[in-house]
Amino acid sequence: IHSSVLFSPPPTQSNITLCELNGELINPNESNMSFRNFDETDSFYYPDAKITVDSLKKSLGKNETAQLAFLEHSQTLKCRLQTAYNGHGIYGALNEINSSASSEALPMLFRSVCQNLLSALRWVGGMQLPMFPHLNLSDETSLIASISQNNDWIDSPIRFISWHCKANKFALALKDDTVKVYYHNNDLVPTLKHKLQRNVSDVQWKPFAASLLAVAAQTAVLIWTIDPCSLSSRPYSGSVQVLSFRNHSPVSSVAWNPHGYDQLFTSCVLSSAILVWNVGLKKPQVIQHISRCAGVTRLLFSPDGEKVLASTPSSSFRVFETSMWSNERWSQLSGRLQAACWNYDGRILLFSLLSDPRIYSLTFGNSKSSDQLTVDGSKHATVVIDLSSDEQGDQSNVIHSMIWDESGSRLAVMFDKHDFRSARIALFATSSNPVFSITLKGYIEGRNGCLPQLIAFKPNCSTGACLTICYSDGNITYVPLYFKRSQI
Amino acid sequence: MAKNWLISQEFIWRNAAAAVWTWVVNSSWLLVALFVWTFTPSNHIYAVYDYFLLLFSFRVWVLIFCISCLSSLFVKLHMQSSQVTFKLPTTRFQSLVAMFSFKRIFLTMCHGVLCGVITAFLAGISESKFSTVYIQCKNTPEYVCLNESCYILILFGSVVGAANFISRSNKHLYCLNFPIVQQARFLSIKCNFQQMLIQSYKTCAKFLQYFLIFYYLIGYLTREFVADLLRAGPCDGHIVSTLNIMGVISLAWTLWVSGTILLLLHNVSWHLFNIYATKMFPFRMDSVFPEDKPKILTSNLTSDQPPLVQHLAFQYLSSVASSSSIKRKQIYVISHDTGSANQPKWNLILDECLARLRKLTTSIKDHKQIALRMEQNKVKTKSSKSSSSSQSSSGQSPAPDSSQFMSVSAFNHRPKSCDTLDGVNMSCFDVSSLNTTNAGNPLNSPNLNGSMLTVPTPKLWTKQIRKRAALHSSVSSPIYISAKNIQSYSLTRILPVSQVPYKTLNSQIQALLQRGSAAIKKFPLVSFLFNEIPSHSMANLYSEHNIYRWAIRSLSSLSAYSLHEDDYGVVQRRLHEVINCLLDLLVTLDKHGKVLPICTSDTTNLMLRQQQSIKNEARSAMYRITDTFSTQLESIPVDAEFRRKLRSFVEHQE
Repeated sequence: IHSSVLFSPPPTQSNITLCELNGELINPNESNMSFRNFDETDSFYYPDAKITVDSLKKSLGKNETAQLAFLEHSQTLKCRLQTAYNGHGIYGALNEINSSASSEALPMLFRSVCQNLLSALRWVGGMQLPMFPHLNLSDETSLIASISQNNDWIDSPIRFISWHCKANKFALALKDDTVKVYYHNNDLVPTLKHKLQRNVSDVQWKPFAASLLAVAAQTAVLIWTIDPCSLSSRPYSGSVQVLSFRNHSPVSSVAWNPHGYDQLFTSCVLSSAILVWNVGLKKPQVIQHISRCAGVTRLLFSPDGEKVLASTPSSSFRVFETSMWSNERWSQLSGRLQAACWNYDGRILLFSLLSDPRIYSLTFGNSKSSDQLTVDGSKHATVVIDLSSDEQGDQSNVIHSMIWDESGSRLAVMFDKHDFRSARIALFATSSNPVFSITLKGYIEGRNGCLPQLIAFKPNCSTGACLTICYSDGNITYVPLYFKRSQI
Repeated sequence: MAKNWLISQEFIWRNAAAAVWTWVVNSSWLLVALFVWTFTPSNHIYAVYDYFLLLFSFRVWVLIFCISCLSSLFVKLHMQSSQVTFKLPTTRFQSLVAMFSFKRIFLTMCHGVLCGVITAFLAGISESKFSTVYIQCKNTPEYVCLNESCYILILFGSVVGAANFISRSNKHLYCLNFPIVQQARFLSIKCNFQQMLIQSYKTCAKFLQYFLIFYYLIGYLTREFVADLLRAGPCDGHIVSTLNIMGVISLAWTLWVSGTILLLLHNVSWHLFNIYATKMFPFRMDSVFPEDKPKILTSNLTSDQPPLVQHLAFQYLSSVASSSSIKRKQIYVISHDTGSANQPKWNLILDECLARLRKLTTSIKDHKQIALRMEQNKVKTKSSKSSSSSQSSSGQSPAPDSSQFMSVSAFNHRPKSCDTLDGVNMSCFDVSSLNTTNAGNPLNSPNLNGSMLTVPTPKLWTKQIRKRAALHSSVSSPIYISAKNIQSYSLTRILPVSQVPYKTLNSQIQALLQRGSAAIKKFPLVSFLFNEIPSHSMANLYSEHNIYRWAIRSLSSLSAYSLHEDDYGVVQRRLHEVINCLLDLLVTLDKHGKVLPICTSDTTNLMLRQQQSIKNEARSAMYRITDTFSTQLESIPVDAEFRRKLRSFVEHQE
């Protein structure tokens, strides 16, 4: 077990980290002036994206009409309720009553009754015996925020980032419910907007396709087809396909089949069902009902596509094999699973728990040589890193998200916004051959006064890896990590 | 079909297992449903007590056993009614024939009777007004009357059974639904039970409203008929009456619950049957025993196998190609079997997959061409009608324009004998084609198609025209020739001079018949019945979309994995064929896969989805190959158009 106490403390003076070179993180100072313009030259290879907070204007709600563009218009509670009921049924109406906009106008007792009714409906809809605390959350946005990989999902201008696995482009889900696609060699920025595209929690490009993008929204999943050669910045309405399923909202996670088959897996934070869609046919299939969990927060495929992690709001998670969907369950955890990542061959899973400063490791057997896929995970998780600190409070969360680069050489850990290290990102060098080892490389410094909200590794990086960091002010920075990639 | 080894050996057990599991699952949930069935609002305080009292009754257990056994019979009916793929009837007449086919009527009756019997057993579970067929007449106590409550319940059960079968057949829900991912049987039931329940009560509610309306209007007729049949006295009063609203509500609740139970029994049985029928079968990759040859995967991929076997074989192939490195190596390896002439399995698989995909590509192209011709023909007919009317009014003979010359189909089917005429610069020309009034319909006059009208013409001129005509006809001929008419049209063409004496009579009779049938088809009702429905014929192109998807997936996965696993290079040798075929399919789908504006229906939507599914799969397949081989593909021999497409795939611009 490595403890962060043993490592060098994070630097006190804030200097923006430019890159990793010769095994060291480079921060510009008097001695290495030549690196001052490093980011400018290197950024040529990456899409140029900057989101200004002022440009994002959140759409008003479910009851938005064209009329609002011309006249100042305030809708009555009755109108809002009616619209919500027409659009989303009894769930929608109860959600509207419990939303902050309506809370002032209604008596306390009535709101309380509706709140309990909503919780009860969620409980019945989820087909679960225990009553989990997250079912009582009044607003679905706070529900999404609690499970998001974004450090500050509600206020952050960028809510999600997704790199394409081969092409040099990424998609950004923004606070104003639009999704923008940025190319490295094209100034055109397609903007994806749809009336059902609200409170985006996840965005994923389809592997082995250049143009298919799945967007997990509050009430449905939207499949966008963005022609890379198109000169239009607003794809026409025919380029989107809506996938919705009864009692499957808000959609918490989407994951494409890593082999590039036309299969999209979706999960919902209020339903224990995991769905798979044949996207072309728009045909859903429920493949699992995870009992004793009340919802699925995230689906994470191993890079080889043979296993998938399903994290839940309860103190347990499961790993499935993808041939017959048998699973193994890890329970009796100290909290719900907060962050997780697979190594390149799907044999090591690193994860951290809510309010737990440690990173755990699970190892899995190699079932590739046999005909039948099995999960074959280790019985107990092993602690590989302890990031606890004296300055940290007892109850506060430490690790918010972590990602592993596709070569399995670098691990980036983003701290929770309440942690004193929240402005930095810890970078670890890892190796799994011959045995798993992990070493702290250092802390990546960000911009002054800005907190990192999202991190992602750019796939298909031949010279090492490239860490993409989205900041709270809407800036996106790239930190190239130059190292010799281990042989995959 | 029954002769196939898989059907005769494996599927007997699969269907038996489906029947047994249907019995197990249905009897389990029936015990819970019993509570809802016996629940009465007036006696709600004792509902739980009554329920447990019922569970201690031996009679109830026997009845539940019987109901579960009867529900297993649904599996037998599913065996008869299920389809692997559905081909839509292309004319309304075919739809009518299919609707009133003996098999369909028989199966409808079987479903109705079975559901009626199950409802009768349900009615007997608890003592209520529904449990006896006869009751004492109120007006004449010495006679027994038909118990209308029991009668209406059993009648409703039968109606639900029959109507559900018809409704599902019309929506093609008896077509096997291959799962997106394989999953365990119990898991599948667990995951889908809620959905089945919701679907059952919704469907039942729909049936119930129609049933009550019809029973209110004409129910007394059937009731009197059945009472006579059972030699019972006529019923006293009417249950379904506007004066007895509370009674109707109570009755509706009972009918709704019973109908929901029936539909759920049926849906569970179908679900289990579908699971077992579509469960992946592990075919053998190779065998040293010659008697095992029919059981080898490559033998079951061929189109002469039953559709279900073909589907399972392709399903297994796609699974093996994507997930089993051991099986993939067996495909790449060169066989030591002398019988197959050292052909690697890859070649056999490739041939079969390519044949399927090429067939799809060709049929899409052909269909598009026919549709285009049909459109042009309509326009042509309209314009020729208007021009003939204008000619008759002016009284002048029309001058044939160049487009009319090009439309003469005789140029394409010129008799060979015409080329061997004496004159060096002479050829023959079908004068009938100059009859512009018949340009739109060359079958109208048999005389004009006779050999007498074949006159010698300067050969040079004819050759040039022929070239142009051939060129033109290869793109699109303005005359619409439907697939059915092509053969008959060629029969009425100019015959070689030597054959005229023998075949003139035949051709004239046939031409007369053609004229007769053409005349009959002009009647609105006949044309309505026999005209092709374009959306249906187009949808039928994709009826085997599962096989196409699996074939595409298998080919691309095997090609991609071959980079590291193919020791003998068998894949590399024919990789260009895979790429050419996939690109051809993609280009064809992009160019010709568009739907005609007249096609707007559920069928079209389904077809569009199937088409989109194939397109997505083909595109991913191309990326799978180009991402693996990347710029090495530059050396692969492909057409110029395909090369551009291939380059855009390599650059991720597609």
